[in-house]
Amino acid sequence: MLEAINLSKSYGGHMAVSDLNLSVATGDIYCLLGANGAGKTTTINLFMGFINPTAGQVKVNGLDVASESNETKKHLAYIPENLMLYPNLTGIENLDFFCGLAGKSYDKEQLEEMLIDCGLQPEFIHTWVSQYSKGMRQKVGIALARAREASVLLLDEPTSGLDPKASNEFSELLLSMKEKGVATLMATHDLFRAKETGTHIGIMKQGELVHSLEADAITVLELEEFYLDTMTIAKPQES
Amino acid sequence: MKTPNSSRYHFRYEFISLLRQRWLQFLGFTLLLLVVFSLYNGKQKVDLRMGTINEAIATVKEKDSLGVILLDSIEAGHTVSVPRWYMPNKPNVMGYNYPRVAAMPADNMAMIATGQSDIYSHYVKPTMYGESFELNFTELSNPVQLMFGSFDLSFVLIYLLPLIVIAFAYNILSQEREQGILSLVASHPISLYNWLLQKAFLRYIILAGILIVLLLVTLPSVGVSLFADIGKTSTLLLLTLGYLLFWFLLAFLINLRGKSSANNAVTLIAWWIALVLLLPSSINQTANSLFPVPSRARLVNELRVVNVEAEKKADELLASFLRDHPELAGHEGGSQGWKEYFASQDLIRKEIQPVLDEYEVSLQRQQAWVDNLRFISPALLLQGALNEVSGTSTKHYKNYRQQVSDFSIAWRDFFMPLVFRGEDFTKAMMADLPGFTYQPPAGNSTSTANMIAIMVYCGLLLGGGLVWSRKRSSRALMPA
Repeated sequence: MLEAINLSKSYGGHMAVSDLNLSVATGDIYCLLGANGAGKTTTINLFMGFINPTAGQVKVNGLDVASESNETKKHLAYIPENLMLYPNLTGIENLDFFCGLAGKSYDKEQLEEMLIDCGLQPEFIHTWVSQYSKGMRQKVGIALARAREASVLLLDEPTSGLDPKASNEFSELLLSMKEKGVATLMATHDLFRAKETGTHIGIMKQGELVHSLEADAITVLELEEFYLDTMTIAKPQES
Repeated sequence: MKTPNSSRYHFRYEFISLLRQRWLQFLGFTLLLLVVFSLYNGKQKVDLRMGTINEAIATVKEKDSLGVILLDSIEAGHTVSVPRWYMPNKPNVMGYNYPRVAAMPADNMAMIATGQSDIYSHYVKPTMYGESFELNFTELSNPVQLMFGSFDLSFVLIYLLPLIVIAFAYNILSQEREQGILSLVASHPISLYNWLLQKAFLRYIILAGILIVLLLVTLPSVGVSLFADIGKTSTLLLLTLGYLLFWFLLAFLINLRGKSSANNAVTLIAWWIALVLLLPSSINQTANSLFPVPSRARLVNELRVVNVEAEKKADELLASFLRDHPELAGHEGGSQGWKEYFASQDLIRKEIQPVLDEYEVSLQRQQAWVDNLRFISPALLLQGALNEVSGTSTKHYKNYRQQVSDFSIAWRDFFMPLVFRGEDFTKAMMADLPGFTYQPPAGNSTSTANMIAIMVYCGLLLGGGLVWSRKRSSRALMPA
């Protein structure tokens, strides 16, 4: 489970995230929408412990990220917008290496099976990652998240730049992880994907979470209209 | 499912990655080339040195054989058809024309570091009169200037090895950050500091392993007997490992700042310039400025003046000399000219001694200055230590000079009574002629002290890194 409690992050005078309160329960997929610079990536980075909050608290499965960074990482898996792997190792070697860093060990057959389950073509399993497309690298990332048996998944625009087929495969993998009870927080620009895979949708604007919706309660078209309205209307000034 | 040790995975895949990037092949080939070429160069110098010494010894032996034949003939009452100045029965002729070779043979490990060997003589033939050995042995230019001139193994280790370390380790953290891999690495439950230290350590082990294997294979091929001098071999290997560790730890610390690869490379090169080039040359310059050595021209001039003065009062000098050496007085035979000459030489030695002392004191001050300041640069520490291991240090040459000086006095003192007593040199005396065998100075205090100092440097860098890593969060290593 993920929790952000009165979370703020400022850089100098600029509030990247402002008083954010957010909760992602087990088996939920929370999709964060927002324009560039809205604070989505900063929120993910705060959950990952890559940056310290200016105020508030971030919790992963009840553990405070700021004070128990390494402990919380045992529960987390992370896939950034452009997942980069070691280019001169093969897909299976990268998977084995990162599993090792996470304290997990699998034999070769298990690793191959995981990669194939995540949609990587068998002929690429033993190919250097330098020859992988972005979609193939993302699949290795999903395989890693599964292999780590993480209960929390943090995704930063994971389908950005993927073709529709690869995006669809990615969504299916997310849903399969949802079925296993993984709590997912995903920053994305893809409204359609957010509606299709998400259980909850949050819209961020200038560091604030201005709306939080149940995904089932809205259609894609309504979401698009709502999103565009939110982006167009000036943020109300505090009195 | 097993719970593995993440370090094992890190080492394994880092090694595979380096292998596939051709780093190991590059390091192996480059180091092989450098080590073989530098040892070959060192061997050439040693061979040249030993060649000239052996040639001089052969010449002396040849002359001795001729001298023995002549002595046999003279002692048998035959007339010999050689000029007067080749007659070995005259002690002044024997003392001048039939000298011994006072040689400093190359050490077992001399090819490692040229050290001072390219500025000092390796053999002399002290004679009863003629050249002033003090002049020959007093190095009038600062040896530090010539300290770093040869492409020998010490040059490779001191100058080039740090550059290889810099190329190998300047981006051990920044590369991952710039490739975008670091965020994935940092999402795992590991300490980025430990992870970075492991990377640096693995690279250190690889480079050290290649270097040690190369040295152990190539040194015997140039005539170094590893087991005959196991102490020196171990010292050489430990010094190399210590110096290598220093540069890796420095690279580790520079990487810890979390800057870009370009910034790390420039910073490390700046450190290399400072520690390997600027500090040694600054020490040299300050040694010259603070403790200037009087000019050779002045010494030669003073020597001439003293010579002229001595010739003018040759009679008085002889009387004075005989007063100082009563054991040589009262003998009628012998050449008056030679007696006056030796008496004047005694005065000349006394007269020029203050000037020589002035040189000696200045040189000693320079060397003391350089010695004391060597601790500010690991490069100087390694150079000093390698020179000692190779038997080419200033200490070795000072020691050799003293031995030659003692021998030249013994040589002169052997013949002087014969000259003053007007006695002939005989074949029977050949066996009693003073001989010279070089005794290298005992101990390896410099290399031990320098090795400890290099390890202290390593300890400071490692300690500094640990303190820094505790004070700063791992987040400081992450991309902004």
